[in-house]
Amino acid sequence: MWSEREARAARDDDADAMPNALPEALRGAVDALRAEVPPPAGWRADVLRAVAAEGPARRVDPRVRHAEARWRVRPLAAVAAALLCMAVGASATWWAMRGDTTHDVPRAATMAAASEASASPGLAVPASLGAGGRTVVRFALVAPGAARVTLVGDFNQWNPSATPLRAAGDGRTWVASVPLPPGRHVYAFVVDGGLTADPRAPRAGDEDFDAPSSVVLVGES
Amino acid sequence: MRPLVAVAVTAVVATAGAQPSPGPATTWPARLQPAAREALVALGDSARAARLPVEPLYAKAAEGALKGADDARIVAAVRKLAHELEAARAALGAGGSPDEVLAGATALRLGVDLDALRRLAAANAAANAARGASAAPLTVPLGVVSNLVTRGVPADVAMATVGRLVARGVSAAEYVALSDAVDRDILAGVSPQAAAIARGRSIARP
Repeated sequence: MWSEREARAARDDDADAMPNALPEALRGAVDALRAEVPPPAGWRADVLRAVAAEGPARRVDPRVRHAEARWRVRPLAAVAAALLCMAVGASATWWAMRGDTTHDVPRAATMAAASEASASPGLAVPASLGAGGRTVVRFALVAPGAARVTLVGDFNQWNPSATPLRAAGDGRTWVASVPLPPGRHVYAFVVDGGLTADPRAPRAGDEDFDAPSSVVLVGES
Repeated sequence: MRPLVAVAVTAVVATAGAQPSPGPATTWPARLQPAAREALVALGDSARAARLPVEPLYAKAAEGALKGADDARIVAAVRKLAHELEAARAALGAGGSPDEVLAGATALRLGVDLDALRRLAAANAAANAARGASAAPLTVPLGVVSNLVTRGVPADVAMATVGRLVARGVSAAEYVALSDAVDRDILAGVSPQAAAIARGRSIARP
């Protein structure tokens, strides 16, 4: 590897050797271009006169400079930016929480996985006493292939968008905690658009519409 | 408005609206045809005029719509529930809360006798009067009756078991404990009827 000094010396040698390699007709042009061009007479005086004609330098108020440096945002733009940030954050959260699930997992696979833990009854477990005499009940469903799980029942008017479950840390279980009044509540899960009873909870047994539902009994008040 | 204030206000408002808690349903499913909708509106109006709880009727229609039932089936289910609510309210008395009336209607649907429901309400009132206590709601006891019946306990046995606990004025937690214990016994191989009788006696024993 060459040192910098060796490289510079080689460049100078090439530059000195080049005119001798040129045709005779070009040597004159090269010599003319290499010749030093004298500045026009009186150029220094012209420059000094021009600078003097500009007047004294404008003094800048430091507060003004600070104000100019501030980030100016219209209120509506700020609101729009906040909404955009929230949308991006929500999307990122959803993406992070969906874990290993995919949208095209066969339904049968999801249901088979959900039934894995059906030996023990009741995944709807009263967890704590909530406000207004309600007990917070924790619902959980094992559905590792699901993209979206929601809870429907007589407590949310069977609205499939009212009570979404969130994916737990294990990437298989979906959970939601819901405050419920005392009594017997009928419910089911909606897994990727399909209705399924809780595989760990007792069936309601009083069905009007064939599709099975589950029950949870809340006793505390 | 300063930008930071605008951002903060927007964030608070948007966060508060992110998870609305569902209130009582007050509309019929949108997908119903006009004839079915008219029938349901009439049923709702009748129930309201009779001072029956109407929220369970809305919920029943919503359940049918979610489960893909056709209009005729939804209307039939709502009509059947309205009749059960009416019967339950008659058995429980005018003082029955909406939750109690719905619990009674569910018990009737599962095969509990109307007279047995009347006797249970009377036993509850007598027990409360004897203790000098305010009326204890029958929502949870009736929910346990429904649970026991769906597990295979005969309706009369379920009502007699729960009736003994009502007379003793046991707590709601003890009713839930009874239901859970019977579930465990059935899973262990005990017959539903035997499990209900044994567990009921153990809780009712002083």
